Amino acid sequence: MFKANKWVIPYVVILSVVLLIPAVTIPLVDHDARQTWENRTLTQLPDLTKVLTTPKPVFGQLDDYVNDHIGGGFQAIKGRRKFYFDTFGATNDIYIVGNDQGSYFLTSPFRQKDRKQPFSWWGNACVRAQNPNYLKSYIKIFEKSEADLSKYGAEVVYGMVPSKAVLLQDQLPKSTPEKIRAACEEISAENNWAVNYSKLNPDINFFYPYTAFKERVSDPLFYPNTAYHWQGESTWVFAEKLAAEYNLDVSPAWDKGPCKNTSVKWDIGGLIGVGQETPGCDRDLSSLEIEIDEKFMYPLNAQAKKETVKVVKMTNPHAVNDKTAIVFSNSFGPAVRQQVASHFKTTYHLRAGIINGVDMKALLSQSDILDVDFIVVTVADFHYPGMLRQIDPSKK
Amino acid sequence: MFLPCFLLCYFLFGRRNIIILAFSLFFYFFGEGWIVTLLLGSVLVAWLHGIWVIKNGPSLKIMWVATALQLGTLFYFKYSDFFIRDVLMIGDVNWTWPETLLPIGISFFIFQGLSYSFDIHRGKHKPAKSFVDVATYVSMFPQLIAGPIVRYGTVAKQLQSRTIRTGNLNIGIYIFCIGLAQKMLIANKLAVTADGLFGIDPALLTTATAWAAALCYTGQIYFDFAGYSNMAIGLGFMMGFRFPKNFNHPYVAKSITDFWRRWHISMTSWFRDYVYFPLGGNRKGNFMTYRNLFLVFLVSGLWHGAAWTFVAWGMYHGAFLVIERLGLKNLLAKTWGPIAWCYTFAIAVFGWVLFRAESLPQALDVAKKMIIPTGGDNSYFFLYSGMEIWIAMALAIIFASNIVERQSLKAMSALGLRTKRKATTVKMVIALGLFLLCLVEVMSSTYNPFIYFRF
Repeated sequence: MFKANKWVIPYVVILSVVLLIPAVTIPLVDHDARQTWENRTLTQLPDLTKVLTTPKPVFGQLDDYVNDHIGGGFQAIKGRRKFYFDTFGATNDIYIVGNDQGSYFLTSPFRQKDRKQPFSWWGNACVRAQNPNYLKSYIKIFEKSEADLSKYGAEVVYGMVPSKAVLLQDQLPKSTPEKIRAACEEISAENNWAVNYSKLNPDINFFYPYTAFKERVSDPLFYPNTAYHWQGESTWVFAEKLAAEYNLDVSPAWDKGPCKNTSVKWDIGGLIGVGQETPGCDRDLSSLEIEIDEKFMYPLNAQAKKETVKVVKMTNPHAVNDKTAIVFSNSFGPAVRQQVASHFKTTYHLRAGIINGVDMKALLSQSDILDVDFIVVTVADFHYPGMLRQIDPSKK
Repeated sequence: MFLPCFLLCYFLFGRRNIIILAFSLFFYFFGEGWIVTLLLGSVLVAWLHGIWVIKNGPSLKIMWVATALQLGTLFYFKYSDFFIRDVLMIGDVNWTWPETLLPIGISFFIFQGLSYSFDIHRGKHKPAKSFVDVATYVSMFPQLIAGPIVRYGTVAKQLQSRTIRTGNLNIGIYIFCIGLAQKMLIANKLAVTADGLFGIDPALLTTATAWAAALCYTGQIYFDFAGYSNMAIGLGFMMGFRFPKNFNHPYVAKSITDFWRRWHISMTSWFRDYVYFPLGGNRKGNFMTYRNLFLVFLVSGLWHGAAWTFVAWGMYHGAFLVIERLGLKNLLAKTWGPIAWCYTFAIAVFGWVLFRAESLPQALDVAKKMIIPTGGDNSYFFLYSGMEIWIAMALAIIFASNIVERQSLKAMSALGLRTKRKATTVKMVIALGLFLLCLVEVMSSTYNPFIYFRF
């Protein structure tokens, strides 16, 4: 026997309807925004016809699907992240930490689901860059990559931009683990990953404009302290030093004048749901007059398969040579590609994650189309050698 | 999605026990797939035993058969691997013991089935004729996977007849939200530090970080488990059931004996009634009392998991209970309260190190670091913590004590909230606030296992 007073049913109906709102709004949510923001593919709806044969994986996927697509979930993540950052100076997962001087740092891969490896990037940039065991094992990866890439006749340069953990080594946030802080403080012009790798194999071209960056890092216009990616003036310094180091021809259009004040979008802000802009300094990219084809679809092994790879092709009308270069980079590449492109007739830019090792090999093999003279692999200082594994021709 | 769908079906349609059963089985099927048949098998054994008792009266043999089937299932799925490899140490022989998956909540539903069998055999309660009633009792989803362990007698009448008023719903929602907040806002935060620090090589721990690990886990396990229990009790209230209170501020206890009156009360009372008393309790002299106490806690440790750490944890608590029986309890009663509390709390914290560690050597290493002053790099604490951990710890200290309960009653009186309606309004506002906070946490985090799922 079950008794309920007259208000119970309406009460429960209202309560249940309210609780169901996030679930029933799944079709109305803009999932693309979350997919772009988190830089991953959201979980797909499982094949529910298999629920009786393999219930656990089907329900597991269904659970993930609801977590990924539930109404308000994306807003909750952003709101929570922003709340923690505003309140505690660090996001709830310590991806983003602020220091007393108003600089903001990314400490570990953004998509890391737990905090098992907080500050892992800084561990790579500072600790591993000085650890003989890591250096010895990593140099082998560089050597293999060099052997793979250079057989196409191109000069290969492993360029790397110093990250904030290395440049602002005396201003690291309080929560920085002591071991990592101490290692970062040890980094200098004489002791950094490029110097240490060069000692192990002087034949490999490492490019690391540490001194040039370090000299100017205190200027907030050079490397805006709210930015994660280098942008503005620092990108020009990178390209200029690269040209000087490898005797590249500099375009007559290269602007040697001072940078102009501009506003830089706070890219870390995007990760915590705000889009602040801070002062920065940049030169007029249009002066280079580089023609950019963002949607250039590069045919891979046309005989074997019809797939294409999305490549950015840049053509320099002011080139003083007819050389071709490939810039292979992670998210740090777009900021510098036009500046690098001004040194060559044709430059292709490939983003990590878009091409795999086998496709990279296929692309380079088509020398009749490409005829690469120069390959520059450009990332921040914590991403090697993971990046090289991506373009290892033996790995798909 | 599950809860609102259940509530709508439960309140809008008749045959409510069937609805509870259907949703409970689906709940288990969702998490464990076809292992749900094991749950149904356990129910079937209990129900058939009841039918036998109805038709033929209690039979010791049949009771033992039912018990053997339930315990055999528990042993096979939970202890066989441990017993073969760790106790008999015959892992190197040529044949391999088939790997068994530990079904979630097996210890809980088997114990509920066992208590049903024991109680109907003793004539404490009338057996249920309906399979649905027994199945509903054993598999009720709010407490299916992590307790509290509900006795059949507690819900037997409610399975037949229950009344729900909006007041029940309010209380249920309030208790549920408190439990959810305990889990999401305190336990989960402390888990970050506890998991992080217990995850590193104990050699890297200092005295400070070892204590931080132990204290964070002490908070985590209490708020995780008490949170789950409160959510179950709250849901039970909403459905018209009264589940027993499972925790009563165990960290304010001033002796280990007192601690065990306050911690996981439903389990402690289960072992008292079905193991300690049948062994003779304290009626057969001092030595037998000590032996019984020790044995009960040894079994209780094993109940928590098939590992030497749990066995050691049970023996550790059993030993302290015996020591207290030997006279320490009287001494503690005469001692200044804070000293007795410090003793009890320290014993509990060291116990949790045993409980949490992956192995006995790790437990000993951590405990050693806690006792012997060891300096070094404390940055591992900061690696796995932030301001939120400090806030969670502060909340843990406040809510683990009974200060809030006492002060809130005083505050309600002072604010003139003596009337039930006003007090309910305040509670519902608190519940709503906590629910929204937890909702944000749930939506923006991934899998959140309750610690007690694995027991």
